[in-house]
Amino acid sequence: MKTFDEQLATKFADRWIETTTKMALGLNNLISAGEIDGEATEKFPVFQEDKMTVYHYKQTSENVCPVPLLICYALVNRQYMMDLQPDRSLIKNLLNLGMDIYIIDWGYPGKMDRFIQFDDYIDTYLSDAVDFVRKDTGMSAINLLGVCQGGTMSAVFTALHPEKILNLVLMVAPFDFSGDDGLLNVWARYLNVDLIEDSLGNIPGDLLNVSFLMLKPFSLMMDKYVNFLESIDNPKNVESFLRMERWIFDSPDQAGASFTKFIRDLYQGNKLIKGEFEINGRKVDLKNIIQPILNIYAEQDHLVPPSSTKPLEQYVGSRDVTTTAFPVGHIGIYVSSKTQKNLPPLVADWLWERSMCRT
Amino acid sequence: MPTANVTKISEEFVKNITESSARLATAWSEAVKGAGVQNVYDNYEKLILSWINPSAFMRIVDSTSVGLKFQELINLASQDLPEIVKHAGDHEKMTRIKDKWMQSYEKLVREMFGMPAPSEIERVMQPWRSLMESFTGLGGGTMSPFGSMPGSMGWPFPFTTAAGRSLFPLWPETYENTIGKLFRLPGLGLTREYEEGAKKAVDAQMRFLNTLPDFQEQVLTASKAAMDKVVDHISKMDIKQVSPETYQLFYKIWVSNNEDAFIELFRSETFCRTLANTIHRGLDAKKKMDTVMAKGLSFWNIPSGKDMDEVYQAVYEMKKRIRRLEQELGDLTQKLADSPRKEFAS
Repeated sequence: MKTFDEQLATKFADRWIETTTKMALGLNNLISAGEIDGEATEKFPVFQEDKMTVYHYKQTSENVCPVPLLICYALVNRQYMMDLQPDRSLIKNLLNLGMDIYIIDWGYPGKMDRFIQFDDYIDTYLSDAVDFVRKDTGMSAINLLGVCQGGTMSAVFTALHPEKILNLVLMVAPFDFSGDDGLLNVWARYLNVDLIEDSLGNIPGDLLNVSFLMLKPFSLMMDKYVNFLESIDNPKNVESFLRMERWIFDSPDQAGASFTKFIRDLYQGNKLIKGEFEINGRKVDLKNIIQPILNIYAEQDHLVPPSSTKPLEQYVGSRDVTTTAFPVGHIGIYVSSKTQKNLPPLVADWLWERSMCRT
Repeated sequence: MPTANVTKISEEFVKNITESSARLATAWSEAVKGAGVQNVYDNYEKLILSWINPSAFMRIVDSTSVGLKFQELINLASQDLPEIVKHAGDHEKMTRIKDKWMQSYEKLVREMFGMPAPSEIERVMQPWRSLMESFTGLGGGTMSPFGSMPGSMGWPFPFTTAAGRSLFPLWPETYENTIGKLFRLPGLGLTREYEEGAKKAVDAQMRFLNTLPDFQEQVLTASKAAMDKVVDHISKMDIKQVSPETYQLFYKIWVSNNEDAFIELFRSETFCRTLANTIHRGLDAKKKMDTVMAKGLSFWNIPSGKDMDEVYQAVYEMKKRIRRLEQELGDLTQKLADSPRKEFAS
């Protein structure tokens, strides 16, 4: 019979063998993973303006909603987060539920784009994308879904052009920047954003990534990778991890002038909900938004805290506002398997109901 | 044994360098005193002498990567974890272990802040380093308090000791009152403009580096508080025997305590101000460096960044104008199409 110490030594040895085997398999999985690219769902470019491209997704359902849905993603990071892989694709699930989906890809701003204003993104690019989808589908008003910063942009656009939008869906989008629970809100107040633009021109995507990593330094820079090692022997997990990793660090630079206005007027000035925000000299009055609004937020969002999203209801003119929370984080809302079961039907049902009765 | 030879050669090399550097520093200091300005340079001399020693030099030479330092910390934890479990409640022993861990942890933090993180930061930093190197090469080395800068963003503060940390507040003040003044002297002669620009850029870089100790001190204080909590937490746990699960538990406690400590630090007003100050001074230095680079490159027939910005702005304005004209044209075409056709008799 083994003594206690011998049992312990055996335990350590077993764990060592288990770990070594796992690492060997993991290494093989990493080598075999190859280039991770592509998105889960087929789509076609249908409209281009400068670096912005509008894509139209291939229909997968016979019963299609008569009102098209345009998705406006944030300028930060890339829109394919919503279609990361077949079993984690909000796009695919919405298509299966009969949505006719267009999406904006903002592209990668280069040095030449440093003078593009936030106003241009709203009044030129988003506006032209909306007009294109209206023309392409023959609808006078369409459904607009804004994600994160794209949600703020969508709300601003709807307030300025209410006649072009039938229903507005907002996901993890910031509106009230006064709270202290979001570290980005707090840090932004201390920044001399004009100096940043003046010295860097465009804002490097990697610098934004550093600030995002600092929001949860040990979780995002260490624990995430330690946990990855736990499942590195599973090829499917390795592929999922690499896909997510690719997305996280696929960060376009931000056009300097646009970034400056976004930080100065919204993060520092909180002008949108104060009714002081202007686009090309026109005041943005959120009371002009009389469309039905579905406002979705993530309860554990460390980038856009609920306190920044929830108050929208108080400032809009709409009397049909549905505010819904999911018990996940900012990214989990797109990729968590639990959310993927509940979120697409919620959005699709909400849009179907309001599109049918208003067309 | 070859290893022994290498060690011996290395030790001699370090000894030679440190001794000659110390001689140079002392001679320089004496010379300055002879010029009748000793009061201004007293603190600076002490600082230089405190840095020039084999261990400080070796720390710089020996800087490797965060990964290795982290491995060092993990190794230490692996060695000490059984000791913590065995001697839970022994205050003296716990304090010794904490101190040992903190030393290793400080090395890790130093590496983290000494390494060029993402490529963008590295790209931004590169011109500064080139300037420092060229400045040193041009004979300005004796004016540079760091001599030639170590690789990356590192700097030779001996902050692994409490005495070293006490230098933090002293250094920026000393710089402003001593060497910093030299960088603000007016230039003379043919190269006046270039010289003044270069000095301003170096001064701005030094001011940026001067913010880092403050930044680092806050990080170290938060790290120490977290480490205290980790050791306390583990020593109070009822662990009979160290097993693989104990290490997993230790890791979880370590990560969660550090995460909490750092988020609390990052939220504090003091840290936010320090962070903003560091960023602003860094960007100011980059701006001044860009000015010097543009001046230097003006001899060549290539457009400067400013020239290109003018082109970009012109293209941007033109695109806007074309869009507006296209829209007007579209509106007019539409109006024409909508209006009833009229036959005009000649």
